[in-house]
Amino acid sequence: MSYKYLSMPVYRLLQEFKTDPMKIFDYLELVYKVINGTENKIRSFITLISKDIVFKYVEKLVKEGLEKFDSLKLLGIPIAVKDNISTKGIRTTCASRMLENYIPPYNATVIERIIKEGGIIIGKTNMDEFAMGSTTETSAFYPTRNPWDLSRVPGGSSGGSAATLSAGEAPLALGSDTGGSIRNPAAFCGVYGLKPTYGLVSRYGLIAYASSMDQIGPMARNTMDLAILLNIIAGHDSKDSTSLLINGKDYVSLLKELTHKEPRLRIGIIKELFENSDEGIRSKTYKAVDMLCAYHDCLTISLPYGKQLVAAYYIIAMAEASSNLARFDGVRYGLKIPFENKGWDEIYSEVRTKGFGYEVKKRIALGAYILSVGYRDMYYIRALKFRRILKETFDKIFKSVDAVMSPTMPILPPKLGEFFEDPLRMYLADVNTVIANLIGVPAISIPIDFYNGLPVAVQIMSRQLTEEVLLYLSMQLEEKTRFRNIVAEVH
Amino acid sequence: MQESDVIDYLERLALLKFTESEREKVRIEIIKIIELFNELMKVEELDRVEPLYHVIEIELPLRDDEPLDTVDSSHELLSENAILENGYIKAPKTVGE
Repeated sequence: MSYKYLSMPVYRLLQEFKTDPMKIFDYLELVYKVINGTENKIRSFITLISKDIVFKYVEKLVKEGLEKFDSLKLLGIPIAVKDNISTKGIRTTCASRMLENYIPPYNATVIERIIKEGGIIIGKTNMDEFAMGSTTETSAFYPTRNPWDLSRVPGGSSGGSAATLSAGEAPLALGSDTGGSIRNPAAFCGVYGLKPTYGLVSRYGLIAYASSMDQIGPMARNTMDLAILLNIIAGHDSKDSTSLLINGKDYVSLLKELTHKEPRLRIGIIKELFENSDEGIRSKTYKAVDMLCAYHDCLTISLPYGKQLVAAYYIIAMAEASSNLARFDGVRYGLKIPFENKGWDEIYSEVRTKGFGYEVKKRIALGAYILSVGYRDMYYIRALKFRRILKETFDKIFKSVDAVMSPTMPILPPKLGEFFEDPLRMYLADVNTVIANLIGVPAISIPIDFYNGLPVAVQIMSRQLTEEVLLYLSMQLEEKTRFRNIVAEVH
Repeated sequence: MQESDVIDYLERLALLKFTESEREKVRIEIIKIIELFNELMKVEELDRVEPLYHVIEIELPLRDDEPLDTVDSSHELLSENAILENGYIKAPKTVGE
């Protein structure tokens, strides 16, 4: 199979595979060839399933499933999965020493659904430890590198998933997004990423960071492929009590319909988020604004908050994390160390000290501080009140516009180590993305162009449960920019 | 923070320890992070509203209390992760000497 298949979108691959299931093997052969050639440079996987095991699995799938092939919506498609999503029998580490040897005895709901549709899990991708970071550098194992420039980070925390896509190691990937962890690496790696409405995709089996903001979402090299994966994972799940009591829509059909009818929408351009971006980002993203506004009705809107967004986000995230990560106690989960004659507190502290990396310890400690007597009202409650005001602000904005637009990231992908000396700069770079998590609306990152050889992306947010609007606008931009199915040549 | 050493206080509060080199780094960083958190003091009319704990402000449904066959055996979840002794989970001692 020739390398032209590497840039083939999933919807085309599915057609090829249905005509001739043997092509699945050819395609997998190609994918593993790419992985073998690039993985030592990029390191996007923590656990890669061996080719032999995958081939045996597919042989069984083909043998048993011949008659239902036409109905399988992900037949033979390799998928890379972020390593905080539980996979039965496959090590799930959260990029932490704490879970280095943890093998879940069950699948996350999203994994069950993917497998049922004939999708093939080829590996677990690198990430920031427990999803706490924006560069994939806090992984306890190794950093992942950006396929477009190996001296730079791929973004985070779903950096491994984004890198597999732009390096051609997989055509689809799953990420998770608590404050931008799908959109940030999608932007830095030049791929598409969608954070769904809170509650649309089941979190059952997602190892929690900040439960009131975490969402699993699809990542791909074009808009239609995002819709294909979203179709599979969206919809109510009784195992997640925060899962909305709705069925997912048929996003593929809706996307086709909207692209055909081309309704004119009202789009808000958030002035400050453009103005506060680096020069290269600003010039490129304004072009995307022009592209959409040539057709739609655009108006400039002003958001009176900046640093406060980041402050509220980190207060809530750290507070929830300090509670969520209490389960890694060395008894139920986490490192096993001999108890000897030591007491609970001692063992608990030892397990956490040995198992967690620096950034995780810092966030847990600050989270505990924020929730402690005397500081709870000052920080935590204040952040939650700000969250209410922000939601009211956007409820109002979404009365007059259907979508709002900004750059995804205010900066280009930084060099490895650049944020190490100044982590606050890393936090502040999340300013555009945290909004959607604080208020629960869907948001998409759409790659539009390169600046000095590095990808630049815009973010669009819309009302709760209107993912199809994001997909439609993404498709319109994709038609104009031709930024689709692009694979980096890794040197 | 009232204790003489901020880092000691945090370590005690969170039941974890920083290494010597981490202590210096975290000392500098938390000052900056708290400064960032203080940005929220500048927002007016916070007292006008109630805290928003969760974006879904509806009553969340509970499942019927029926067993599901998600794990193969009752102990599979535990045996992967816990130290078992005679069918019980072993934990550190809870009473001091």
